[in-house]
Amino acid sequence: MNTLLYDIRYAMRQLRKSPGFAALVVGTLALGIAANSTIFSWINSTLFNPIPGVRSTGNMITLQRGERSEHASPPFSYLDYVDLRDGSKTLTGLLGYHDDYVAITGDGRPQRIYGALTSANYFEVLGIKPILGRTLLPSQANERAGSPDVVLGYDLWQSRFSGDPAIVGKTMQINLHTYTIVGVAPRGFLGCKSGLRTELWIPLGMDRQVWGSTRIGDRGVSWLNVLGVVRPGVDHLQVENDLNLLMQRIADAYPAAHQGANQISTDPLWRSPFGANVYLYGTLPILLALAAVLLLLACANVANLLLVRSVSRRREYAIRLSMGASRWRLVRQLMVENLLLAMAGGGVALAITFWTARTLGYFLPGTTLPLNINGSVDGTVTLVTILVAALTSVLAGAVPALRASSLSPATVLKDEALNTSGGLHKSRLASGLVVMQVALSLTLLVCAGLFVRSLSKAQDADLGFDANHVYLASFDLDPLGYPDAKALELDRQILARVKALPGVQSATLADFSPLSFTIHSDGVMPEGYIPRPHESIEADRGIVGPGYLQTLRTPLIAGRDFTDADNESTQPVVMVNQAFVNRYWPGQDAIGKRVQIAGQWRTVAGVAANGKYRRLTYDAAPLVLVPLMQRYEDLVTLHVRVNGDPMAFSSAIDQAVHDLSPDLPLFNVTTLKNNMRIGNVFERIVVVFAGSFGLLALVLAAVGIYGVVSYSTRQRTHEIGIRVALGAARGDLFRQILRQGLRLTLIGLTVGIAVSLAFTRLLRGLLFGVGTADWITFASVSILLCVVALVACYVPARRAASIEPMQALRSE
Amino acid sequence: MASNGTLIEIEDLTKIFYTDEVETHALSGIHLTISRGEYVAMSGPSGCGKSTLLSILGLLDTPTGGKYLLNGNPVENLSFGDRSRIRNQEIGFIFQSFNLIGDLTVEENVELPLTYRAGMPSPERKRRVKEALERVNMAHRMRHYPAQLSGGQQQRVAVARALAGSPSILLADEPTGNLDSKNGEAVMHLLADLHREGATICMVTHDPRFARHAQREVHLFDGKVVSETELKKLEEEVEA
Repeated sequence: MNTLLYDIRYAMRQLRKSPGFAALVVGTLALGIAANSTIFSWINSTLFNPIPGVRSTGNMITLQRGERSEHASPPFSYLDYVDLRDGSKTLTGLLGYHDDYVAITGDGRPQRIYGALTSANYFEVLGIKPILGRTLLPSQANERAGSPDVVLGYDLWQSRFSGDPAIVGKTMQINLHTYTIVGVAPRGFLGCKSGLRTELWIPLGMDRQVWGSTRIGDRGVSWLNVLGVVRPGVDHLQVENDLNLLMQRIADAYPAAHQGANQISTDPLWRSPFGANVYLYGTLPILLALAAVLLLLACANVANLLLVRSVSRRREYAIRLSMGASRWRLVRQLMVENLLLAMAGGGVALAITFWTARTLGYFLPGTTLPLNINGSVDGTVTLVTILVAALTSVLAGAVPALRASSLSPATVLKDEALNTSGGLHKSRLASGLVVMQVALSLTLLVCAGLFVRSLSKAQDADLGFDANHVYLASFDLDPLGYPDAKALELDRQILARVKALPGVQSATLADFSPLSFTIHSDGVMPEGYIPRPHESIEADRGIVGPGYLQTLRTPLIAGRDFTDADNESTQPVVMVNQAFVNRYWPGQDAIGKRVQIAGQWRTVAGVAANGKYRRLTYDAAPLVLVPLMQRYEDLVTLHVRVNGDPMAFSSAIDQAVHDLSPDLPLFNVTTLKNNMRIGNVFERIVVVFAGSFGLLALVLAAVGIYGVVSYSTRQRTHEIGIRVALGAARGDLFRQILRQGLRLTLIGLTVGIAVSLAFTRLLRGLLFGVGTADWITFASVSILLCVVALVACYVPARRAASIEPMQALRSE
Repeated sequence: MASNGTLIEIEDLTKIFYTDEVETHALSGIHLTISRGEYVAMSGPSGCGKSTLLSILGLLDTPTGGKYLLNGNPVENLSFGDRSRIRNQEIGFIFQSFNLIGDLTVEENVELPLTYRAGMPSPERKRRVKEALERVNMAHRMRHYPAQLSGGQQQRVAVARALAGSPSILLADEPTGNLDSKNGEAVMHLLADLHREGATICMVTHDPRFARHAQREVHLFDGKVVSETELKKLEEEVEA
């Protein structure tokens, strides 16, 4: 123990003696570790902790019915949910919920928040205890009838009710109905859908009152997401078998309500298709892998620095060995130094991570979605950062320490033989490390390059609409309590007023806007189409106003756009897109055919060109557009095509709306282009971070090449003197040093290309319009690295070329 | 102007080293002529300027003043590039510490000066290397690295390297300084053989036994050329 303390004290003294070296090593390691701890903090906050406030989610699963989808719609009716919950033998609990916006009215300003209708066992299954009052009653006896109770989220309790400790028993207005506050959920709990913030919970049975729906008694309407807790000792396959057996019985008993595929599949919460994790689980591990490559690169850089330093301390090591120190003792002493450096790097990285963990949220533009995606530093992140720091001390320090301890003290103390210059193996290890650095840099840069090109291709791809000069503003008529007919009339008047504004080309309404994760999907039944086994008869669905295609400038392929004439008193119609026609009616004329949607048969009036509505990187999916005037939706977004800058019309449009309805707030006022930024948010996160890692890698590689070439040039000063004495010209020396650097770079590039070709295969699912072996990216990155290597070699080459021969010959 | 037999002619050569505010006169008005085929030994006590003079003769250093004619051409004010070219073609160095490059094989070390000679084809280089190594009886060690050779063998390789370029003069700086007496004698015999075959040699040594191998001995003392009698007198004065 005493000797260990001695080693620590000595190590600290050594590091104090070389503050520049220590700072360089700590800085390099801090960058590498911070990249990993940042990405890990995101993974920890999203994939590892998909339900904030619930400790253990490893045994929880979500259920999907039918064909698997990344953007699954709620898969179960209430009655199916109850049958599954009551019949399952492999789950200890199965909760159901439906989340959507609600309006808080009554005292204080009206507020639009995200709320959830939940099954009675919701909090019990999740293991959430209230901090005040109670949760919803776990009794299932009156679940269908419901009771006007509400559990508040902690933040809502704080912000709207000032954290009133006597809040339990008081009432509040939700969608104009009075509810009794029965409890307050603990701080941090935001519902069970990853990445989304739910602020209040009310019983499922209140669906009729809150949203005016009768679906709770309809087995044919799927509107509930469900989450189950797997019984201990039961595996995933057993659960699926158990649930599918039950589902088959249900489908057999109620065939009319279960057409199409009914196969149940389950997902752990880290990759659940309900919530943000479905987008994050493919992205964050790749980013972590890139961060790990960056850390390896940093370790290689530090290993080189340690090797250089160990050369200048050879005499010290030789004296220690000659005094009887064992090799292990010397290695320990050096590893203590390395550990101190790595821990300092880890400390700096942790400080950086406190800031960078929150940067995930910065990528999310303002949106109507109640997003709650961000990272934070907790005990797990801290522990992982410390462990990574400890690992880096081994990765970066072990080889230099072993090498330093293997020298021959007799040779070193004799000052070595002076009769030859250079040594066969002297810089082989350092050169190997440089090759590794170049190879890893190339890998990171290639990945970054592929992501950049992929995003660029996606942005250049045909969207199927013109996103320029379109103003957006959302409004929700539900809190005003208008009957549907009156609300539709107000929609018509708003459109008429806005269209009449000078500079406005056209205007429409829609219950979604493209590429902002707001489009819905619905079960559909195309006339005459016979579904394949397990085929999901589901399509993207938008409810849109008259002139939608005209306003969005989406090409019309056949038939017509919606008009004012498509109202509640005329024939129910839809428009579909080309992908819908290709899938369900290939080679046929779709106009006049019928589609059943939400239980109603509608006639196809028009066929639109394909467009991108969910994500830039997705291929066009079947789409059904339903006229707003035939299927009322209270929450809609005004789309206005204007001449010039859309935001210049903001006050005029605001005035036009408020002239008609002074109490109607417009929210999410933005341009279509800006709003679409959320549609490629995950691609942008990857591009920014992979790009940053790539740039850091480039800098580290340049520093590594410079360091090794510079160091080896210094070591070879005497040799250079000999060469000069034998007639080498300055140009010969200059070219020789450049050749040395380029040789290492070219070997590194060869290795790096092989590694990259293997590594980039993992990115296949994340790339759009660009192959994993895209030669343009590989060639550009290789040329860039060569140029950087030449620049890094230039200074040592110049220095070598200007050495005075007599000085060089005297140096040893 | 040098006569046809004169290879090196220097007049009033000076070399001053400036360090901070101290001026050190390493060479003070040296006059020296070396003819083709001559074997000259330069001797003198430590610090007398032998090695400085040899460096200037070998164009590794430039004089502060005076004239230096090599093959009748002035070379005291040449550019770095011109000095490199002349050094490569006209001068062969043999160092006290051998100065072989550890990463190169014996063959590569000997070939090194030829690789700096533009336009010499590889077969020609190989032929010259082979001949030079055979001349010093080291051809059988072509593939070895310097560290695998004894000191005497390394110095023979260094001699071969100096010979490979067929220089006008061999400059040897204490070539036996790092060798035992047996290997030292062997190297001296080798230089004597080369001289008999026509080589011009200028050797720096402080050992009178080796200096006697040369045809002519040049004594230096405090940066000046002195006669043997003067040298003894000066040394006695210093001792006194």
